[in-house]
Amino acid sequence: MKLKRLTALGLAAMMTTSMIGCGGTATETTPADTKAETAAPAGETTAGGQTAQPSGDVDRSQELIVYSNSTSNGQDEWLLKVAKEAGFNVQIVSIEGAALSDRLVAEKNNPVCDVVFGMNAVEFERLKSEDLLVKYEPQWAGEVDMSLGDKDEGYYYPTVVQPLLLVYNPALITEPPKDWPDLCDPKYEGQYNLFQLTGGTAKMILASILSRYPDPAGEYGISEEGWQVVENLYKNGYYQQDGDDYIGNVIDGTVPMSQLWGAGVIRYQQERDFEFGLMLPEIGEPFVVEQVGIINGCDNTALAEDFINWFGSADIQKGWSDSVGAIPANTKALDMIDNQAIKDLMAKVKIQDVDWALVSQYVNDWAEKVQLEYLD
Amino acid sequence: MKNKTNTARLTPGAIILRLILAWLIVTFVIFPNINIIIDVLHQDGHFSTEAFTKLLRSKRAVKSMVNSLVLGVALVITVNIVGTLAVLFTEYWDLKGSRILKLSYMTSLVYGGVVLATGYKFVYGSKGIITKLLLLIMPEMNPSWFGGFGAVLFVMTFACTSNHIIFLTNAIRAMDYHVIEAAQNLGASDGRILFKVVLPSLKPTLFALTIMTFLTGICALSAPLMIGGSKFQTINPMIVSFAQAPGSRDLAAVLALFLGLMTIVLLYFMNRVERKGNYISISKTKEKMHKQKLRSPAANIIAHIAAYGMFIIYMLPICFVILFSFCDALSIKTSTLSLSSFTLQNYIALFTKQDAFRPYLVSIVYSVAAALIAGLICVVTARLVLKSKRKADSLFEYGLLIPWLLPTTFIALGLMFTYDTPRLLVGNKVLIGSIWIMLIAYVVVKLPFSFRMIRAAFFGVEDSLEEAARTMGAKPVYTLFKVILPVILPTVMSVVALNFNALLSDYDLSVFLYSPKYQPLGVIIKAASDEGVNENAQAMALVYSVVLMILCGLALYLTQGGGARAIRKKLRGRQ
Repeated sequence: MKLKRLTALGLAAMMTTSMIGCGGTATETTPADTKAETAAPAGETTAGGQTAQPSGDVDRSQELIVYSNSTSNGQDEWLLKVAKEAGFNVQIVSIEGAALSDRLVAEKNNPVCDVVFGMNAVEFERLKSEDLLVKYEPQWAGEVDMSLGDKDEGYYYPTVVQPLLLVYNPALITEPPKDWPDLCDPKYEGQYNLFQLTGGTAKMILASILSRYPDPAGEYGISEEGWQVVENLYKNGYYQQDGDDYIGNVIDGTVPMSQLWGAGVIRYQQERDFEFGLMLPEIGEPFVVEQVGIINGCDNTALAEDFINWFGSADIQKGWSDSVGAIPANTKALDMIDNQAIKDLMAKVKIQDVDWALVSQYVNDWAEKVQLEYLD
Repeated sequence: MKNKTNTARLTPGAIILRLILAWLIVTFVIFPNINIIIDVLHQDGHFSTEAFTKLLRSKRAVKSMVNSLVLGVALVITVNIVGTLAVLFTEYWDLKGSRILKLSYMTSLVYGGVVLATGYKFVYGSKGIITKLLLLIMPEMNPSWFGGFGAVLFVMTFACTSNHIIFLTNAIRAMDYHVIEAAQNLGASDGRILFKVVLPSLKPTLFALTIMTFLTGICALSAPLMIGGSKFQTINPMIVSFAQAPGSRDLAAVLALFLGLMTIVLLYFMNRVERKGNYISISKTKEKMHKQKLRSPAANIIAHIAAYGMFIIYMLPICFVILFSFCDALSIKTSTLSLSSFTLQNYIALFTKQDAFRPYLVSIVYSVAAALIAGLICVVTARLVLKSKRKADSLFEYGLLIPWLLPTTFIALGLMFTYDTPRLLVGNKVLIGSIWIMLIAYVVVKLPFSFRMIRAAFFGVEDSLEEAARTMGAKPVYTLFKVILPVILPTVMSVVALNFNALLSDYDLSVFLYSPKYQPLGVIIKAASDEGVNENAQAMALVYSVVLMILCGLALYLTQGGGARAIRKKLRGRQ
């Protein structure tokens, strides 16, 4: 058995080398099946940061500019370090979410960025519609649930998942809500913290609720009933203010429930030494999924693809998770991670089926309407 | 005769100057901003009024607009009172310990925004020290008492006196002591001298400061967001939030236009009032100001109590910011100071980071350059506008003031979406992605403030000084830089220093425009203090702001303290 596997590996490796020998960049010429084979030995090597070998005659020493909204303080340092070990010459530019897609759109005629990662599918859809992305297929495409990415066209691929939840103080909330609409009950008045609608978490939770009530004839594609639920939800809740210690408020009972993103649940439980109660709706939780894509007009598409092959591979995604607490979309990486808290959380949650096309079309209008009409 | 030819025909130099200014204003101020406004309001081939109706229908939007106006008006009153008092306490009356008072009043110059509001929350917030003290005395009081309009007004009153402390101080120091002596000899009382002699001569500066204060009030951001609560929200947080979402920018534009309209009305009135006024300018045989003894003992005691009361209000927040910068994130979030949570880790983390100093260097270079360029443009334009008898020249003034009418995000977006393609105006270059675009934006946002303050300073320049220079054959450029500039230099230096301080940690513009190779400080700070990813975010935000305080303090020392005098001496020495 073992021997058979090794032979297969050897064969695959030989095939790869011979492919390279054929000349031309592997990324341009290799069909999908060869890629699957190159991926196999990549997964087996264990030296961190050295996993995927350069595909084709890619020169990793050339500069590659990477934009991201998930590489804030310290996070980029780890990535830079391992990328350097793997021979990449990467420059990481950290830009906050909303500004990131604006910048990419503005730089259309003078592209600076080669690879972008970290934004969710809604933002990537905007880039796609602006003709800013290149179609490609990373070697690890088979290791991620493609329903989280651009399944039909293949312009972007998922890297990190983030379930969005409601957490509560189990000592104080003895009858926890089972789903978001339950919060409209007067007994929860002022008891739950809703994030500001400028941020991704709040917008996506809102979208996951509204998209349950589609009505092509309704305002912004949503039925009367849906709007009523959201109006009650926002009127009945506490809307976050800048500078709030909302986790402290959950713990001391000032506002004993709060919206929270998955990595935040894990981090704050550890940081504050507190066990949150989690609301786990029947319908599932909305997942915000960070994606990775190549910018149209990038100087060196082959290098960009090579970088993504490396970056999205199980080893690197595991390392990324260990370093920043992210939950990898790569299922192999998820199996490999040691953080039991992440595994436990992921075992509890399930993906809510959200109509992302509807969300992409209207999410701005929805957030705008709530801010204008339902907030005091 | 000479005057006549002056107005009738322009010298080639004057024409070139006007052309350059016109190009600068059209290219970097008017065109990009009009472009972005049209872009967001013009949808599907026609101008949509949808944004207007949406906003008018929204109770929250209307309420916020009213709140902004109320805050602006209220601040004009409170800031003028507190700011003028602060300057009188330190520059005009002879109070004990005026130097230390001055230092405390100047604290609002070195920090602001989120950090300042955080500082006040450390003191008065629901877990703040004053609240804890009050709870000991009155256990049944509401710990979240510090919120709403009153709290916002209080915080902003003390936060916004920075301009008074700088510019009013310059104005008082430039007064002629002979005038006060004369009034005293005529038997005028202290009060009469203050209200009839001193304050009237400060009018041009007070006008400019009033405009500034009103604008700060209607554009308030951090204080309402952090302290206002749901009871008192203002318009600018809404603008910022809508400006970030591509689909909601029409709303942001309309709201911004509304703020702009209020600004225009105010500027128009202020300019009219100012033109009507009669001002005492610097006399030729000026006597240096002497501090006044308060002759009535009661007044003296009251002044001391008020001065030291203000001292405490100014000092508490900044002390807590500094103290908490040595604490871990958890104690900051819960506002608990204890010896066990003291740590140097925050500072170590700051300076051991890879390339820790690079962003400082980038930001310092950009900010110094932008502050100097903005200062230069404004000195030249102010001189042109005030001396010219051509109506058309006053257009330059309004051109420079335009950035006041728009939120910063819009200025950034305007430049971004205008110069993302080659434009003839800038020699068919694409500016996006270059290192210049951020510098341009930095200069543009600082033009209105610089212009308004420098314009006010020109009123202090004696006409005869210029006439003398001219009759002795000095060229206009020579007159401006060798005769006039030394007189207005204190103000110009102050403007440069304040602009430098404001730009040093800029995030709103930088995030859109910085070149990937040169990350400015604001972007790094924002990343470090982003709570979503960094456990120690709040601690890092405080640590960075303490470092910024030191840098800003240094800039102020150079321009307000010994530095300014040394430079002036040098300039005079060469004459």
